[in-house]
Amino acid sequence: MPVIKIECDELRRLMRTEMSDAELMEKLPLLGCDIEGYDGRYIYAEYFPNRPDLYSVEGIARAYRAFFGIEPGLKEYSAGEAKNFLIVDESVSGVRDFVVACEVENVRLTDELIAELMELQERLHWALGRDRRKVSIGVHDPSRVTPPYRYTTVAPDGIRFVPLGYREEMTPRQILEEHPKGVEYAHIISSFDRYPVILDSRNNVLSLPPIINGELTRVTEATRRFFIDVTGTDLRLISQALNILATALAERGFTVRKVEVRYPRQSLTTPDFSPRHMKLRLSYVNRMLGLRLEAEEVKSCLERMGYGAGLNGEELLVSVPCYRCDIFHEIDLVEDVAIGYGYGNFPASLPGVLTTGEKLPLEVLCEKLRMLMLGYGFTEVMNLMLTNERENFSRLRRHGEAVRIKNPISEEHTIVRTSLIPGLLRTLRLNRHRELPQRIFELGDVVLLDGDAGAPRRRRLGVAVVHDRASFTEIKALLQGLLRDLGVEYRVAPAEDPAFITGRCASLLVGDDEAGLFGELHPEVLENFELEFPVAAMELEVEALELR
Amino acid sequence: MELSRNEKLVLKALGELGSAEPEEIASRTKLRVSAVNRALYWLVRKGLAEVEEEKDCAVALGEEGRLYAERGLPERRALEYLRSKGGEAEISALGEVLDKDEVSIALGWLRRKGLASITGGRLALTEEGRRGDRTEDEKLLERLAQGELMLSQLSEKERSALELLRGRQQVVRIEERSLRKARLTRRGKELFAKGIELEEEISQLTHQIIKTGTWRGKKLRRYDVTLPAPELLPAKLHPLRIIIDEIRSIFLQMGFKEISGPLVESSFWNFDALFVPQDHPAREMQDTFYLEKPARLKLPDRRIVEAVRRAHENGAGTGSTGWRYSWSEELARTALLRTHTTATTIRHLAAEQKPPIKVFCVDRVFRKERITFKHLPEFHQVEGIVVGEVSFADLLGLLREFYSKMGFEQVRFRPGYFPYTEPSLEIEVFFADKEKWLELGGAGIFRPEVTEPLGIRHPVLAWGLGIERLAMLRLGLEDIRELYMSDINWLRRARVR
Repeated sequence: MPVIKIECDELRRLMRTEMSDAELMEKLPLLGCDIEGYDGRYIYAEYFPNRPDLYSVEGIARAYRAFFGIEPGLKEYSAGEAKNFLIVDESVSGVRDFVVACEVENVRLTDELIAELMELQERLHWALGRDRRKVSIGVHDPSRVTPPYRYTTVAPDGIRFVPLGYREEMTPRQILEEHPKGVEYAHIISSFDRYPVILDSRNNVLSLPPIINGELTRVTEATRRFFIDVTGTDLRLISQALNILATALAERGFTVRKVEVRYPRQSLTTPDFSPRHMKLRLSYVNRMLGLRLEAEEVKSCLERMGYGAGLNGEELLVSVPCYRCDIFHEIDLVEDVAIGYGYGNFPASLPGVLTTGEKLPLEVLCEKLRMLMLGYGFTEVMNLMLTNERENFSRLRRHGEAVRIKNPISEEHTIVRTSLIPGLLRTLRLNRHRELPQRIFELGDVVLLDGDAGAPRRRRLGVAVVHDRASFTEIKALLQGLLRDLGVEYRVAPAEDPAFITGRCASLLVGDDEAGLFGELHPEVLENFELEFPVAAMELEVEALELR
Repeated sequence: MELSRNEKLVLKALGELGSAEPEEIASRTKLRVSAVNRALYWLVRKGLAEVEEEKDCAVALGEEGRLYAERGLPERRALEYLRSKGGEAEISALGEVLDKDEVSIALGWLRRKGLASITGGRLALTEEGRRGDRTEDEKLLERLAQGELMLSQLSEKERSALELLRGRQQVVRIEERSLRKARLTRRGKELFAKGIELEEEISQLTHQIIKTGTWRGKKLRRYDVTLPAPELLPAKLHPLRIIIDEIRSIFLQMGFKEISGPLVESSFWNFDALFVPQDHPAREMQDTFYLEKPARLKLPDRRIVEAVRRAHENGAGTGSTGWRYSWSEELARTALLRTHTTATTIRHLAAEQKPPIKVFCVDRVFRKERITFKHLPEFHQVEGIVVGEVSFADLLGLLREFYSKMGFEQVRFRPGYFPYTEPSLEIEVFFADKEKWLELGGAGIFRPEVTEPLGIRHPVLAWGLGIERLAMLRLGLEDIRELYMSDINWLRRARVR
């Protein structure tokens, strides 16, 4: 999630407040953010992915002006009548279908402001644009290009221009292959025969969306006007991105002017700053929040959150600002009423729902097993379930199949364990310099591949004991004790498992089901785990014990 | 003044010996050295004895020294050779009796000790050399070969010989030692002079003593009950388990039913059913473990799948706009390791919908995190759900109740964000130890786009937290890995609260 670097002085100026830094830090989270740091000049605050309108200091100031009653209610923005137009060529259809645009006048820039503007763009690319796939923004200085503009496509080598930050002309194909931004974002357009471009009336390239702008329209401190294009695959999203950006610039005191976007079959004039209207039922608000607010109170909560609100009996008519893109449903307004009301101001009630608590039968059995294992002198350990084939199979001289991760973090964690014994031996290895005897157990899950059923989990009890005279008898005595304590009828049959010494390994049978395996571990297994004393171990299926 | 039997024995021994080391006292009294030391400690505390620490040095042979003691110093061997050759020989002939690197050592020392002179490659014994008397350093070497000596016991001559030996590499080792010498104080001596009467005392009461009644008329020795006893370490539950059980018990007390669900889960239950759009960043490969085997899982009932599809595409008649994209069933089938226990709660809600429902789940979840001191790729999460005629105010009340049972009296809430809850909040608790507010959980009401497609008509309150973070704070751990490293000593010593 984006961390916004907020200069306290600038925020105070934009908010028109005198609040101290400390007060700001205490109060910013009331609207929803995590304070990540403060260095005496800047506050670093992380805002949530559903509020890209708070990804700039201007947007943040706007929200808090309303919240603290400095300027509550709907903030209206106006845009001058369109002077220029942008023609959309039919060929963009299916490639990157949509574009919106605006112009900005009376621009006054510093290097710092340019940097902030670029950061806002990148955050919008991330949050709304899914890393430019759905939305990408180009901000241009139009002084060296000539409208009207055209949004069209070109063949990969069909045009040459100097990309931003370069000196030589390149074709779009070269940019995708050589330019760092080209390489980074090539995957979005490289599958098409033709690439989207924005040109002026003399075929100068303003941008190759969503990759890079041309050097010709670079924004500098001398820039006095902007031409802004937003292209993408979803008209609603690109319009929201444009609104967030354009209103932030308007908050700076710049003047926004519309651009006419001429699609083949219709014409749009963007940006459209008009609010959306939604109805909010007072009864719904009170039911969801557990409050008894009057319509007036809800209205003032909404205004603290930057909405316009009118009363209509038991309903409120809410004007949703054009920069909000997280309002899908009435419930989203309810949350903002709650934030406007203040989470700290809620009465603490308890639900009048009468229920009885109930443990899972499996957990009840595990609690008993734990009690018994402690009584037998075994200490509980916990291990990670993620492991690798070497540890889970090879080191036990075993082979098998396990749930396998497609995108593991390291070679150490590629599969999910199918047995508890490797983890126990690993624990013994870690403790090999500690005093003996060591008696440990783990009650945990393994996951087994099971064809159509997917990969069910199984609760197991794993036990290991290491000391100079650890033996089959010791582990069998424990098993007998446990099963006697639980009242489970069972049989023991000789078994073969490569992890155990032949002739010193047995399986536990409960009814006809194999319910566990125990014995003395093979010396090669001990060597594999760097253990120099004999180890006896067992692994039981807990659920098999439960059913009896 | 009351003295134990051992104290009396030691006092008596000191009275007779004057001043002595604990070992001497031990051999005289037939007590173990540790018992003598304990008795001395008490005699000192009672003002009857004093113990002085003396520093001395132990001198012993080094590696090379032992070799020389056996074979003779190089110059001695050269000298004997010369004597056998009539007192003169070529230097090069020394190779017959010396190792190559010993020749120069022998030459150096022969000259330094005035035993031989060199002229033009020939070596000739001096007067003294011809006599061939043993030198002081050789005598000391011999004594040291019998065992280590204390520096304070060496004569003046031996000390200068030692200096010579120290001039050679690894011939002698000198170690500082401290000696404890005990003697009686004036009061101790007075007591000793009055005569010490030793009466028989019983320390460990035994079966035999009780059975035979021999304890009668004897004294049962007083123990110092303030002395530390040996450390006893029990078999123990894992500290994380103790916290998990504590949380389970809080939920059970509050009337919640325990549930569990699969670890290997479909994207459908982990994401789609929770209204997380299919291109949401949280789903990306950098956060979630996807599976190669099994790669796909079955989807539930057609009716549920279609309802979820509609929620994503158009809001499914909930009044929501939905995400407005074409939802892919194939993506929903993708298998993964569940990233949150909410996958299990939503499964449960899809199956059981009749309110009131109060369920909870404490279980493992997986995130694609590198292992560091503060992150693990798997951890435990706890989640509680209430379905019924309930509200946001109830959620806040429940949270206050829950966290106060966990021992956090100061709790505060602030807006948060989760894709599947609205309103959402983050919970902060005040840690008195750290004097800090720390985030410890998130909560919210499930969005209508989540509940309505599953046929749930009532608000669903949900909250959850990661347990390892709490465990680290409780246990004072700086490194989360310790929870799964299971150092047996740590486990045995860990506090149970």
